[in-house]
Amino acid sequence: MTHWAFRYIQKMNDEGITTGYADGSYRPAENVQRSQMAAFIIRALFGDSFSYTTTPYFTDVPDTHGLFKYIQKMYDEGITTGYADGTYRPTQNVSRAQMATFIARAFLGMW
Amino acid sequence: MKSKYPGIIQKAISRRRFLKGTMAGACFAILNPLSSIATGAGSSNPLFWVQCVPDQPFYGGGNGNYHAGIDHLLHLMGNNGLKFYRSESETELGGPSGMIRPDDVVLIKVNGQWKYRGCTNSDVIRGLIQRILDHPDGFTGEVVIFENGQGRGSLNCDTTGQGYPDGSVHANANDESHSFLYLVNTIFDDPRVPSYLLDPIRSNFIGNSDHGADGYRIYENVSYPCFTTAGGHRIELREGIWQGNGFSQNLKLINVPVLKYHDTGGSEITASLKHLYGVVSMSDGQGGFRHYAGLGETCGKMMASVRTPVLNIIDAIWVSYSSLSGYPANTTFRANQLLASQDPVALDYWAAKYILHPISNNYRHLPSFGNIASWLTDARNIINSRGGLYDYENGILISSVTGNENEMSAESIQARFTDVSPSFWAYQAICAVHAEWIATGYSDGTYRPAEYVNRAQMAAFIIRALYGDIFSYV
Repeated sequence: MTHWAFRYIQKMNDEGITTGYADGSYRPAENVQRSQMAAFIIRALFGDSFSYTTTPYFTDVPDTHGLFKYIQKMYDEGITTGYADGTYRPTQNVSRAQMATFIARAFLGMW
Repeated sequence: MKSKYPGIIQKAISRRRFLKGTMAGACFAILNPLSSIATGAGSSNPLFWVQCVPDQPFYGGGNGNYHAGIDHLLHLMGNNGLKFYRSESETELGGPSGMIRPDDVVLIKVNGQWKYRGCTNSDVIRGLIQRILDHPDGFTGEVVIFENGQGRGSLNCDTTGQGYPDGSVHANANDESHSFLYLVNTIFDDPRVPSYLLDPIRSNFIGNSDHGADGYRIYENVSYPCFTTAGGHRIELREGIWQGNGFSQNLKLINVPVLKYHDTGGSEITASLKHLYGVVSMSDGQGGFRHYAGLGETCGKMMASVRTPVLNIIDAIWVSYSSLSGYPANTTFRANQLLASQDPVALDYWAAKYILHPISNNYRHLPSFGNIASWLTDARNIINSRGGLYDYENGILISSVTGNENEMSAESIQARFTDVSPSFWAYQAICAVHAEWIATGYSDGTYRPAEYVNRAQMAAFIIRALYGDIFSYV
């Protein structure tokens, strides 16, 4: 049986928003981490080459982080402000409420 | 509120929506169909039913004018093949056979004969206008709010007509100062969005070759207005837009009645047929015939032979169940629903049976009650005897209107999740992604805001945000 999200995931790959994991899997049931979400949203909006602020905004996302540029860009674009303690918490999962907020800011021009 | 409703009737549900509903898809509860599933695609006239519109319907975006009820309605229609925008490319809300062209003159018929909750909800109109202005190809036409209040109409919602001793403004909106004129002058303040009140011209009858004076023309035993809009378009409602040597047909009519009690012993209720009927002039000596004896015939002729609305949207945000004036407020019920169709007979049948009657509990509001049944039947007969409802651009819209429930199908959606309250911190954002059909929630009507997003859902959110739900992929 076709996975319910097959066409969305195919399209994500078509558009270069994700390439999945190195082993050829996408792992659809795996929870999204905040760092991955940043990569997805920023690639969806800007592709993979864009300008961003290189001075780290978050204490837990140094410029050596694999997804550094996406997380920086999220802040540049006002899509996230991170947590009050100056962290972004890149490995934290994303709730559906948080996701709605990020999507509304990134794609619907809210706030 | 819930106990007032018979439940959501989900008949002839499309396979696509069924699949969506069973997965991470749409937010609607599939309850027991009341009667048999309609057989055969195309045999049913579709109705689109939005329920649980939030009390605060403006969720952000569109200069603050995006209305959760209207947006859910347009998506519900679009996902079932009825596209709002006429546009070359096929998208969720648009396509080559869509309704509204970027250069159309769109007339929005509202009820401005009354005020308070006796007139059309202007919040709904505001959301509708914003979406017209947001035509994907760039809107260069005109949107005209119009009404004939038969001598007591006011687009400022300050009429002193029957039942209203005061001359103050009381619009049917969350903010009662938001009259139709307030939308035009303040909310939009855009030359593409004027209004036109027909009351002053309703006694001026003009000839067929008069393309200058504002007035009415007689057709058979009905009549229709001819007038020039603020934007300079010469509207002759039956013929089209006068171009100096002929008529263009980029004239679209959207009929937006407020659902309510009307009287006892006459039409009983006001819905889409009775509402469009209000466009006629009552000053031609035939008012008595029409108002009751010939109601169904008059309504049918206006629909079939004067100008067919491309869409009828019943405003059931507040339903006035025992007074046509919508006042006092304790005779209105906040139902928070919208119901739309291109078939006005099916629409009025459904609105009476499944929206008004459950609220009023008045047997006279059932479509099987003699008075209503007779004008529904008369309207149906005259429309069908004239070949159904025709649109100049799309040909036949509805080949056979119907008052038979087995020939109707209703698609429904709840515009608000059951587990997200307005006080929740992410309420507005969740409303927005829901109204834009990006996150459609679970089939039990929940959104489950605390649940973690998995990578499959993430893909759906992002792709729908970028492309809507219609896109090609490898």
